[in-house]
Amino acid sequence: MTEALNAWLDAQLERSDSQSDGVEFRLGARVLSLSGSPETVAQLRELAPLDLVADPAPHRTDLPRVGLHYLNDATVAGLPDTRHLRRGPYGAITAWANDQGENVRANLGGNNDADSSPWLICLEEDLSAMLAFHAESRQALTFSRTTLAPRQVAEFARTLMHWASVADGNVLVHAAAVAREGRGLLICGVGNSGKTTLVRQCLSEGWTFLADNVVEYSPRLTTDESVALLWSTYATLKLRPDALPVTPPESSASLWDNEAKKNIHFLTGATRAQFASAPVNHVATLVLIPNGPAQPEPLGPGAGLLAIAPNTVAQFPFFEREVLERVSALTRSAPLFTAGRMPLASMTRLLEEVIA
Amino acid sequence: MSTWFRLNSPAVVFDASADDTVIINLVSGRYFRLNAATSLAWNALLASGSRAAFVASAGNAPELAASVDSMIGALTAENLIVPAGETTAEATSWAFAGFNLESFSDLEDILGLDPIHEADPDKGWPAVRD
Repeated sequence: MTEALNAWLDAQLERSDSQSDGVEFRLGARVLSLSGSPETVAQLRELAPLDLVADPAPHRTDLPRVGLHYLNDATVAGLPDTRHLRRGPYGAITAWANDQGENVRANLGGNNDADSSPWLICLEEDLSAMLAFHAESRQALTFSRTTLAPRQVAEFARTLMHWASVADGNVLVHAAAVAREGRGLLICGVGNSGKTTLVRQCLSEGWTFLADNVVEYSPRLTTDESVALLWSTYATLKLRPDALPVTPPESSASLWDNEAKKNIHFLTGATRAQFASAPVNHVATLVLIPNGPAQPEPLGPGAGLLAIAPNTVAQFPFFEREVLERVSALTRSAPLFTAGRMPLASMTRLLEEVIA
Repeated sequence: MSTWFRLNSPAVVFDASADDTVIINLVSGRYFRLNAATSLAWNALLASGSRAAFVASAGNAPELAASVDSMIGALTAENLIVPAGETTAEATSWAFAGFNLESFSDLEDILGLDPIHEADPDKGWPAVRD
């Protein structure tokens, strides 16, 4: 049923090869290479504060690449009629619509449809937006007729990052992360559990910043046979309007996210210099829970999995089985701790003990 | 063909750690914890091709036999397993030590959300349509 769409995507992918690359960033464990028409590339360059979201990385040759090519309106006008196709969540056409056409989230490994198409395709029914990922060539095609919302700028290409991380054997985790001397602490917890407060305190005391909301976990061992890696993603912080300002004040530019009722701060200047451009070793995981202990206490892997996995699966639809398996690996690869609200004055000292 | 049960895949995913099993129903948005003893029963149930094979796999078969119906009832009520035909598959030997399905609904809104038809069209995932 998707042959016409696949053929059209194949043709666009071939055409995109002849167009010049525009903007490159390191996002997580790979470089994201954006391309499109000169007009689109110019718009991407002006998509403030996109250049603050992640590492500009035009010359990184040590990391795998994923291409994201923007299709223009004239090209999209030739899109085959797809309104008759079954769809899953996010307008998923391949891989996720089940035999009954129900909008059931499935995992790629458990769905034979996934083997019939090289493309993972999400296409809005009204043809207003599309993301298609060709995993073998690591190229994605996209278009959107709507303006990016603040959170989509702050966590740019989040869906593609999720797909690419799964394809690379990694997983994006709904978590924050900080590091000290290359020793990384993953900080998990549901929304408003105190992740950002803890990260800000660490930032103010000179710790390395990896992420406030999305961390890439790499269970494959690349630099050391005994540890997994944590990769930074987005150099942003989400703060409630009543939160104290980011200090120093010149160290962030902000956008108001009306949905989350939070300010998204894009780190700049001195604070931005604390953003990790290289992975760190994952040495411990801290799970923040309401009414938890005032200082970190050990947590078992099973309790850790229960606290981390459903929340992460909820945040990153599709490939749920892979996410669950890899979060499970995460809970076994480094010691787990749990805590509630910790006293600010002793917070970083307690965290140093956790990663010691 | 007689009925036994299989995992309700792909709507349900699960993973077993050293001491617990976590099961997520992606349709209902509910998730579940099985303790170590219950995890043994869960694994044996999925590995068995028939009720007889499941019961026989337990070292203390009579105790398990008395609990099979309530166990199946609890799991099917949450749509974690669905009826399937019998096979000859057998589970490795284990000891039944009780069954407790602990359920959680705190992420129901977001886990069970259909991002296409229930997400806010302007704000996008994971904002829910009013």
